Amino acid sequence: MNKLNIKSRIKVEPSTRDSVSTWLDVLTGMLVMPESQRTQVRDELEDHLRSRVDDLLIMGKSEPEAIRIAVTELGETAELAKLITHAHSKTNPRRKLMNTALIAVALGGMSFGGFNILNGTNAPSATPSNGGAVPVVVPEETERVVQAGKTHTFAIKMAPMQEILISIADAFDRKIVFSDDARTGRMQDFLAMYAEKFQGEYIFDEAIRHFRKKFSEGLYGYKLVISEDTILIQSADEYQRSLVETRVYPNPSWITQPHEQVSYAESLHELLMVKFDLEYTSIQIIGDSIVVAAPPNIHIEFLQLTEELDEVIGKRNASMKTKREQAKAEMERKNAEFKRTLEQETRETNDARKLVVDRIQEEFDMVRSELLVTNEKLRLVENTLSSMDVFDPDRQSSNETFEAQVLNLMSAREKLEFEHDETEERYFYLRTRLLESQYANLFEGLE
Amino acid sequence: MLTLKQDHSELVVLSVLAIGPSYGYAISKDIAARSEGHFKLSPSGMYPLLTKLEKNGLVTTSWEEVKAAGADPDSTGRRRKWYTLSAKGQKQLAQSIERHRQVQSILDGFVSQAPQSELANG
Repeated sequence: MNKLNIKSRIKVEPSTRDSVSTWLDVLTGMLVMPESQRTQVRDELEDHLRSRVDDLLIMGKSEPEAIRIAVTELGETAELAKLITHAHSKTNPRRKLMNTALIAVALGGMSFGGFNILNGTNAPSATPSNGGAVPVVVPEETERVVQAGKTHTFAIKMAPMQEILISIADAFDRKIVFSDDARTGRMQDFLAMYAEKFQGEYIFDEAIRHFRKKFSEGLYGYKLVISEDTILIQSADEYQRSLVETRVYPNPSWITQPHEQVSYAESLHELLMVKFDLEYTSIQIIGDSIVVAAPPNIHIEFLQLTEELDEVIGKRNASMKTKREQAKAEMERKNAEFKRTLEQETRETNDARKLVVDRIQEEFDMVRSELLVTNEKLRLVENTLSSMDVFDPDRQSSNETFEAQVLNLMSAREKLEFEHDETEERYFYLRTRLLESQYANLFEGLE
Repeated sequence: MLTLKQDHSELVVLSVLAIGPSYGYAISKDIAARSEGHFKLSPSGMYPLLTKLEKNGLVTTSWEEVKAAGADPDSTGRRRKWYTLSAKGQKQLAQSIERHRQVQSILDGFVSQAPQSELANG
């Protein structure tokens, strides 16, 4: 900040045309809104002022007088700026919808660019358990009341603001310091424009209060910031910057992933940008916390937004939880049903297979018995045949009868041999089937 | 000189715009002229109100470049913001007029029965 002592008392007569522009500079400097809106407000008010000045000139007023009247009619500058800012920042239903839409986008995990993310490891941390926001840096109250001290009697009959301010500064041994904005905004010119009387016995802070009251219009929203040895003249914007406080906010409990935290901080930033010009505000993620450096009004808005966002997300999570639980219950029910059906089918299959195996086993046993019987019969016939000596001389029966017996036995043997072959074939077939079925059961068990 | 209340301001501004598009300074002059100087809508009341009307969709806006009389034709002029009553604004105005008439007739009912002479003397 450049220091400039106006004790040099150089009087600068402001150009009248310029004073409209300068007044507009001062007013727009006090508007808290995006640059594009600020330009529109400025253009509209300039049109109003110049139209009014033109009318007053036609009515025979001098140009400086016309400008003075036109500016005065607009009302107290700071108040006008406040009313216009308020009208522009009011949340209307459309904005509310926009907020909700942005929240939805944020939930979708989309990323908004344009701000720093720090990954400090020793970052301060705040948790819901320690009550939320933790103020880290709280600037000293700049408009504090100065301690009571010596008094001074002023007897200024009529003088410009700047002379009165110099008298106060002289009387209480303080320097007048112009901020950068006050210098570029030609605050000195304005101090020379307004004149008033200033009389009475005051202590320092009373004198300043009285001065502020008398010249509330002439100060054009500029602030007199008092410190031990200076009177600082500062614009509303600079004053706002000086009010910036850094606070640490905890992450909401529902955030579990780093990308969710980034998305959360970014959406809050985006939501704040809808309402404020965030030139002197920063939102950063440090460790597990969100660090916001901003004037108090933005902190208030930030808290409101976090509440709004938490409410929306809380509702969404609750509804998702219910849906998840319903889906889980449905899945479990289906699984149980499927398991029951499978068990039933398996049981039925096993029963059916067992039935088949039992039948084969039964048939196999029967065929084996048949085969044994056929074998026995065949053996008997073979034995009988071999015991009959065709050439026995002691044979009782006639040759014819004997021959017939042999032929019968041979025919029976042939028949039995055929039967035996058939039965044996069935026996092997059934044995294979039985083995197959038993193996199948075995593999089933292994699977 | 009567200062307009907010409710009345909106009705008055919408009524002025019902005649045709206008801009801030002209609206304030029109109000003063039509009320024969009885009504005054200050700029600190009017501009925030116009912003509100615009945000609520009751008026639409457009910009025009204007030059001061006798200015260099090649120079850049200043910008003027024009306000036009929207369809929604017309509907709102009709409702406001209806409401105003109802209130007026109710009030007239009271006023006409009050003993004039006693009031004047009291």
